[in-house]
Amino acid sequence: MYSKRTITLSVLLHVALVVLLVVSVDFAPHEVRAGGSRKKIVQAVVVDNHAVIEEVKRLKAAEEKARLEREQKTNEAERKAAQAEKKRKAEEKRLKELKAERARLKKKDELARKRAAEADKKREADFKRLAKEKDQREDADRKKREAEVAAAQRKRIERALEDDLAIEEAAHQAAAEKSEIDRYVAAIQNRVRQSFTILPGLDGLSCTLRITLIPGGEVSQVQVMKSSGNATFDRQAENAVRKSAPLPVPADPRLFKKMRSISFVFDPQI
Amino acid sequence: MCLIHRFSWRITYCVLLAVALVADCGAADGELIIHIDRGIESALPIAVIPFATIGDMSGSTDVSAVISSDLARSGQFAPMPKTDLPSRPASFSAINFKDWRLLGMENLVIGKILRSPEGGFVVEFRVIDIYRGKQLLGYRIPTSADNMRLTAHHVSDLIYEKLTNSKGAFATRIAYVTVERASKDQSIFRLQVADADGFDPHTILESSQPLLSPAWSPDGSQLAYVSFEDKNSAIYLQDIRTGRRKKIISGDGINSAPSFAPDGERLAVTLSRDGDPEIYLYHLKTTKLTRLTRHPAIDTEANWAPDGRSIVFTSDRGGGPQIYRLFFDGRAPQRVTFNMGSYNARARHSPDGKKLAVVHGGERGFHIAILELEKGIFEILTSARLDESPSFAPNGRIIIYATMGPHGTELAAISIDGRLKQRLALQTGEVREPAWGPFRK
Repeated sequence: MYSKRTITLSVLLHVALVVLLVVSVDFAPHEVRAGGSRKKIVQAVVVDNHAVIEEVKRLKAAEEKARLEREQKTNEAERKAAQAEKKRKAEEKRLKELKAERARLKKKDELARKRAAEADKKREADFKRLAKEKDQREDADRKKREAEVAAAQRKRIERALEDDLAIEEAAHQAAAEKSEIDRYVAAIQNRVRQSFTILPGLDGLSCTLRITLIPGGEVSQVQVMKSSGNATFDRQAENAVRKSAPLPVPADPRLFKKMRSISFVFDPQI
Repeated sequence: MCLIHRFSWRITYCVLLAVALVADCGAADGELIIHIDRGIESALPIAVIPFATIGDMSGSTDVSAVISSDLARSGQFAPMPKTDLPSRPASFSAINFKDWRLLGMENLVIGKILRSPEGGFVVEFRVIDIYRGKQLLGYRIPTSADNMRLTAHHVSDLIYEKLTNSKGAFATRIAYVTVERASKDQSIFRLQVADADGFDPHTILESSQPLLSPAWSPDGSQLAYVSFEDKNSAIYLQDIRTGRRKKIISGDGINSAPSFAPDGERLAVTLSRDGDPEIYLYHLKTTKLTRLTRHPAIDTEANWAPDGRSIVFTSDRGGGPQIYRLFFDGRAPQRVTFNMGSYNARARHSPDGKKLAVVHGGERGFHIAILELEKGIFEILTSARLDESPSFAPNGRIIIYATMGPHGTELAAISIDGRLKQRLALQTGEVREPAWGPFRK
């Protein structure tokens, strides 16, 4: 219920109270004693009591002073001795430590020297090894380069020969392809002409269609690139191509590729 | 290494080759170019599938047959004969495109005739683009049994317009005169109006005396014509729908050859009241006459240019009959038929005013010829012994005219390129002076 602090305060107060009570009890005997000292003053003959008291006082003080000086001297010597001893001991300790430190340093130094020597040795070995490797590598590279140059030269010569061959071959092939394609173009032209219905009254018009073919010659896409302006004419042109499908196209995919997209210009001259 | 190298060279060479090829074709975008410098001048292939009918439609107009024959008569289409049709799909989903493509068929017309909930009928049709596999056109047209034929012509117009990019003239009418020999001394003359294909004729006037030169008003509501019912010629105006008629020009001498001005307010006529036949201007509102030609020779058969700025007429002032043009700007008439034979008469303007259809007399008879006014190109279209009275369709694609058939004169139509000639399925007896009416408003 009561906090710790409250309890502590209460205890302290009680203690304080007890102390006060004891102190106040102590006062009483002092007052009693005061009555007793008055009893000491007896009726004496007046002699120069005062001088005696002064003399005693002086003697006592000198004695006390000498004692104090002696004591002081003794203490001083003791202190000095202790101090010297302490100093000696400290010096001894310091020397000992110094010695140990010197030994330690010496040992360390030796170790370092040893290590440095080892490292130097290793570095030298590495350097030698790397230099050797480098030389070897450069040598290999040089040899390789030389080989490549030689090969390239060889190839150039080969290529020149091949080019001559290829040109000849390609020319040959191109001529063959052209005549081949021409043949298909002629066949397509013929077929589309025959499928192209020109309505009476729609002469004098022209249009351009772009036709995309799929292998086999079927028409996959028809784009009017340039209209004639007459929907019927355009439609008849488109129909002409569609009616002609499948258009005759080469089976060879390489040749077909060249005919995959064809522009038809319908420009009938009547 | 070697292989790759060689391959790369090939590619380079191919590029060079491609460039060379392109250069050959004169193009710059690295592509093969094929010139189609000619084609087949022919009519468009089309198949008109007989329309599906719901319920009994016997006795009613065969709509698809009318459409098919309309398109054929235009000269622009070559409808597939009904008997050749490989299938008769009634809906888009029923069309086997592959089959039609194998036949080279480009367009298909499918449709049906439904009974309308409000009474009457609904004609529904679609034009299918066979090569693109899609619908080009589709309509649902409410109609009645009486108007079924007209609706069919409307459908023909829509198809024609979509596929040829020019206006169709199937739902228009023609006027003409028939002559029936009732007895040796008596004839019955009838002024008739029929569909452009000659079907569905209506007699708007019957007379025991000659009827001549029907001419349409620009709005198609009236006909001007010449009647001899008063023993002498007189020019009449008749409302086609109501039949109300009015004698507008009569008097001594010839009163003939009316031609409406494009504004519909004036007529050019041939009158001889001042001596010889001359061209006059007749103002319908004021009934005032203005003389246009002054020449001792015969001036007749005026026809108004569509822009209203000139007329052409026939005159023998140069000796034989030739075509002259008179501008209303004070200039003297100019002869337009030079070095085109000794006989050119009865000129009619094409709707665009650039051509004249004329009756051209040659060694072997009278033929229909076309003169291109600006270019001076003269082309004889027909070759029968006696062709007369040409008249342009309002879209300018066909000329209707009268020709000598096995049973007398009959009507024929020819495409302006001369490619297609057709007799009009018509009437008995003699048929004369056809005049093609304007577009229906």
